[in-house]
Amino acid sequence: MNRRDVVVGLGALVGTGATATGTGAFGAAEVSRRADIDVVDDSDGLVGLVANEAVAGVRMDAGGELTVSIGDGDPGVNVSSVYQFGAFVSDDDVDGITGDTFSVVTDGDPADMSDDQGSLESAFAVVNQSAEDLSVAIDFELNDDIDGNTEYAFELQSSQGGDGAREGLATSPITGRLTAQLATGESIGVSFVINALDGTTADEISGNLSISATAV
Amino acid sequence: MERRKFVIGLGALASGAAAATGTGAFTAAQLDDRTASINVVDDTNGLVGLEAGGSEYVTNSGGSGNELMIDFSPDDNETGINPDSTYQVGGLGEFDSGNIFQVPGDPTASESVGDVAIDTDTSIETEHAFKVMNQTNSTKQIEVTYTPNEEFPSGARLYLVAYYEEGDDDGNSSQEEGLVVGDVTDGDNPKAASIIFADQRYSDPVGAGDEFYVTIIVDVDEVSSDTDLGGSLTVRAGSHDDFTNADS
Repeated sequence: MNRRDVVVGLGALVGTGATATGTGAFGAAEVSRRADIDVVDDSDGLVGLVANEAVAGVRMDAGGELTVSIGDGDPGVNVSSVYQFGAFVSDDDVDGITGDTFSVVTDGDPADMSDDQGSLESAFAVVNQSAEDLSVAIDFELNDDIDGNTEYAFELQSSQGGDGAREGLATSPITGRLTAQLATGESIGVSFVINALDGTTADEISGNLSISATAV
Repeated sequence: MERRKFVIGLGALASGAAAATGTGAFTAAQLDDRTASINVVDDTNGLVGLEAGGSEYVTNSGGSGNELMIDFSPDDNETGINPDSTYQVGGLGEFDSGNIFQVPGDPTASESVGDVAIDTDTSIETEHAFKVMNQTNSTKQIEVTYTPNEEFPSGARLYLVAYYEEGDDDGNSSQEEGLVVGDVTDGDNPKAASIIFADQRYSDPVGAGDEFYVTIIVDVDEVSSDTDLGGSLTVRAGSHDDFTNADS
């Protein structure tokens, strides 16, 4: 059997009152140490999550987890504005979200990670840093009870062989899932547009993104 | 190949459980609950922040009470600009004595900002109509344009003049920008139609955490007293496709 170092990406604990859970898990954790398993930042995980450093509000939090935090104490999306976070491959079917006043910024291959941050134009990327082909799904569990009329669209983009392609588009309200196939070293990206032209300052889009990957 | 299996479960953020599991051979992984939180905020708190200065004619009470607004009739009592008058909101103290006689941006401008300005001593940093703040953590190109409700009649001019302290002051006049609406420039001069802080000639993008100030000058001759000089400000930032390229 080939021995490999296995690196599994996990978030670290933050804040008071946080508890590590799982009894069996702890026993396994000790085994895992002997097997040289490290908990790493999201960006170094086998399924790597990489925030675009040039995109506001998308970053690694103190625990090494990717977060999207725009507003909520930090600068946010102005009322009566449209913001785009990361480039889209295509502006098809986004008109309804961006209104007449805003041209969606596009890029041929936004999820390209060949030069890491230098070539990444997506808001964040999911990188297959494992040795196997993966089927990746991103689940959007975002609230759909926005008071005002703030709308949004997320585009999932693949980068393969130097070409970018739209793998999926999800528009508000989202409780959906986008999927893509990912060979070793390949990446997919996620970019999004927020239209608060008819929004109010009570509007908050909140929720979770869950990324699952299965070897194929 | 024999598969080694180990399952790791680790906890959790204070609110909600975050867990990731992985198998040795990595047949599957699950990264749950990466949080997303996107808030719509007042203009002053925007990633591109817009904040009124001290004047009663420029406020952050537009829209539903949280948008930048220029209103020369703040009490809805139909006050406004007199015929044959000049109004200036904000100072121009920091402006280079040469550049101020352009729009700035167009040496052919007539009348230039310097020609019509009535207060070139007061600091714009102290007194300005509004300021535009880059509240992101990276340098951003920012431009401001003005779309009038109606075409300005002959003899009516609106200037928005901007000063960016951190801009290049080494002969490139990158600190000073301006736009003008009305019959001031020869033909279409993109540089004079837009306040442009960008990766272009005579211009610098706005650094993370930096801001630029804008002073308003309205200068009218004997125009009709029902003339509408209103319009809408548009602020574009980042790699916006519609960003004015004054170099082209």
